[in-house]
Amino acid sequence: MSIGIILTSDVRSKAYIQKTLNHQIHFEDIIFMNDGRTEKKYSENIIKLSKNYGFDISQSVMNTLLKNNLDFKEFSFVDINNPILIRYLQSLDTEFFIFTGGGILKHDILSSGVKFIHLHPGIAPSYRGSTCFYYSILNENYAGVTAYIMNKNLDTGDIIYQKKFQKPNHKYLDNIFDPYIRSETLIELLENKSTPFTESIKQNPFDGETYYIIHPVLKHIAILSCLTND
Amino acid sequence: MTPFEGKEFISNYKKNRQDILDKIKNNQTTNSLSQTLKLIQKSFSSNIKEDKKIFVTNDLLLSIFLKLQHKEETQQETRMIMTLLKKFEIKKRIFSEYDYELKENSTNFKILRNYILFAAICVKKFQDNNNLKFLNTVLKLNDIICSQIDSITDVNDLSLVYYVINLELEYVRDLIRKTL
Repeated sequence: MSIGIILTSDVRSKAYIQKTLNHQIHFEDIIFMNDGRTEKKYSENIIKLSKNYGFDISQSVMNTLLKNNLDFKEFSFVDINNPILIRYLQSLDTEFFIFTGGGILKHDILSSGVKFIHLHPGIAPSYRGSTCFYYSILNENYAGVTAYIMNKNLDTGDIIYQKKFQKPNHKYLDNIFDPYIRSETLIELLENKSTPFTESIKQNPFDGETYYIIHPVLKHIAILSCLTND
Repeated sequence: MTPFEGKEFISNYKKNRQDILDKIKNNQTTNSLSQTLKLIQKSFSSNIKEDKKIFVTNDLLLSIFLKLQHKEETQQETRMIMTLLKKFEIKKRIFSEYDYELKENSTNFKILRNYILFAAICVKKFQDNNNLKFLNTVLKLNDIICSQIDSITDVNDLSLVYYVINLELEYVRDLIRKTL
């Protein structure tokens, strides 16, 4: 089974590529969708915390790729449905790609013959949609990740792996906790590769719940609940 | 992405909402929910344009809210609520008319009463099933309503706003008590 990864310049991609390297997991193909956006600066506190969680948020994806002499194909856009990307994917023999971004895959890319694995920060089908880990922390006091094969709908693809996480005891849920839980799940998924991805669980798209971007008041309550964790 | 501002953010939210409640109470005698519903019902025209199969959103929302209040919600109302919620969450707008498939039939999204009625529906749904997606939508709807509170003059609308914001605050306080 051949697996590649499609990276962007966000924190999630930083965690995915750094952690897979640390675990000596190698990808058949690496694609970097890099629109040249300015790298965000982080405080020393956040950098230190990210290192405790197994990745360095101050290291750009490009730095990591170059420093480790990794072969990669770079595109100057961030769009999974771009026809140039689709043509390139079709020219490869790679069966699965880990896709760090989210959103909807359109017909052309879905019919390209390549399968995409997404790590969604919620236990599907109960937590589909946006900002699910905040809702899960409020409802269940924990967060979770579902790895699934992407289809034309949002978070309804066949489930290949799920993992639950205790809520953190810090406030950096978007920048640290989210990439941490997804990358940890990715490592477990790839280290368990002996279980073929074909052994997946079908989802009923009508079961479960889809959430929308969390309101700042609920987000603050969820984060405050993490800070009173001890 | 909203930056985290700590407990102060929650205190400011509560104060802002309470200020709106005080403003309504000080300027206007509000009616109870049952009185408000009776008065609104009188103006209810079941304004569905049969020939075009078009819903006037105000009447559709009022009819759904009344069914919820009388515990007469059917699968049809549930489906409509979920579709309208999704549309609002994506576009942040409620249009004045929809067709039977709930596709927009108008470009007018400025009728505040539609936002008030939908907030009343969502707060009732949260009351019934404790699903945070409804409280989430209520918070967003009430943000829009509060930002335009001075333009609301109808006593029934103000009474409904008072009712919905009171419940929203109560449910947020409950959530804080349970989680913090």
